Amino acid sequence: MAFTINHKDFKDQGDFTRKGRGCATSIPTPIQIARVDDEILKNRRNRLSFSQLTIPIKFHHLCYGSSGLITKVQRDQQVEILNGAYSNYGIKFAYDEGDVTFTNNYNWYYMGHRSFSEREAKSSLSVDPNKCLNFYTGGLQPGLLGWATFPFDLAGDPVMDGVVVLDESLPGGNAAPFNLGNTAVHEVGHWLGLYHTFQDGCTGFGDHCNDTVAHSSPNYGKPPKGERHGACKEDEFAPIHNFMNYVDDEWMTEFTPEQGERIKSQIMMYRTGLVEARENLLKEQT
Amino acid sequence: MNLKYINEILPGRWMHSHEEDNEGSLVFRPASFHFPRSRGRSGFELKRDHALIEIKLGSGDCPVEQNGQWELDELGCLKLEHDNEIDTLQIVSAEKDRLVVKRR
Repeated sequence: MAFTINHKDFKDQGDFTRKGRGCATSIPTPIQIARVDDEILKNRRNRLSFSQLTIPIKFHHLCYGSSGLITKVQRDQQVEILNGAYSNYGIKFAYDEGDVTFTNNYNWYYMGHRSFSEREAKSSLSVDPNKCLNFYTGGLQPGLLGWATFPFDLAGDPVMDGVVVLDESLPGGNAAPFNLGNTAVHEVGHWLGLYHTFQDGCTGFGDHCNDTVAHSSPNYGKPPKGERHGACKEDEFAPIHNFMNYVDDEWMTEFTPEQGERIKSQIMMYRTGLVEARENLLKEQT
Repeated sequence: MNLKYINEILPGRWMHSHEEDNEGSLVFRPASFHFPRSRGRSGFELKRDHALIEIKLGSGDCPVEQNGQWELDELGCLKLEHDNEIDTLQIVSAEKDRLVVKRR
């Protein structure tokens, strides 16, 4: 599945990963963001897509004593929540209970973003990021609910690829109002290439999806309907139920069609290994 | 408004306590405040030499820091400047543990 980035041709995801993009920054500049969209647009006509894709999840539970011991019921419920959010866009998730890991390590359990502990944990636990979603849970640095890497980060720094979420944010956790499993839906949205609906506020490129209303800043809590909530245009309303906003779990219920399309484009551009993994899985089953 | 007092207490790291925002007022608390969990929390650090570290919400839910300069004018407006952009915050009230501003 060949594609082109920055006027360079790559035979497939493996070729792209080997040649890399020469850096590992996880904060795209406006120029990089524009370039990614431009390349996606140029390549759209030449690429295949998929109608259904099952993404394998590798759960890595970081623990400290009795903290962080996620149960099978919680994993199953979390996967169900993810499938409920993404199945309309041809994406499902599955995991093998035999692949689940539990690691007792104080520093890893309380890791912060871009910390030494994060890199150490991921270097030890990450499983083939080209072909699966590495899903880490832990107690994390105080105040954080989770974070994620983007598809275009994969080639530059594959070991860091994946999502990190607070253990208590999984269904059945105690992080109310963030304990219904939608923190993972939000982080996986980033992992699949989606920006916040408030990206760039009322200037710049926004989230690059024309059917999400641009708004000046995040919406928090359970904002009521019928108010603009920072929408940039007079006659519009901020997308208070979108998974990529900052509202409470209970308020997060939807993606838009263009977000679904962006996810597919990003997978076919940067995560083609997922598609190959699915094909391999089908071959093994038959 | 006692600008001398405000100038004394402003230096430090202030984080947006968005849970306390009310009718256009933005509430900031010192970074040591016991904030509830949030998907993201922005803020700023004001150094005594008027250097600024602005803490922005990152694309992937992690804070991103940006350097700049800050100043407090004679009208009680806190001006945060970076990349040739100025964010002007009118100070409504200022205490050691709570800063209330309105965006202008």
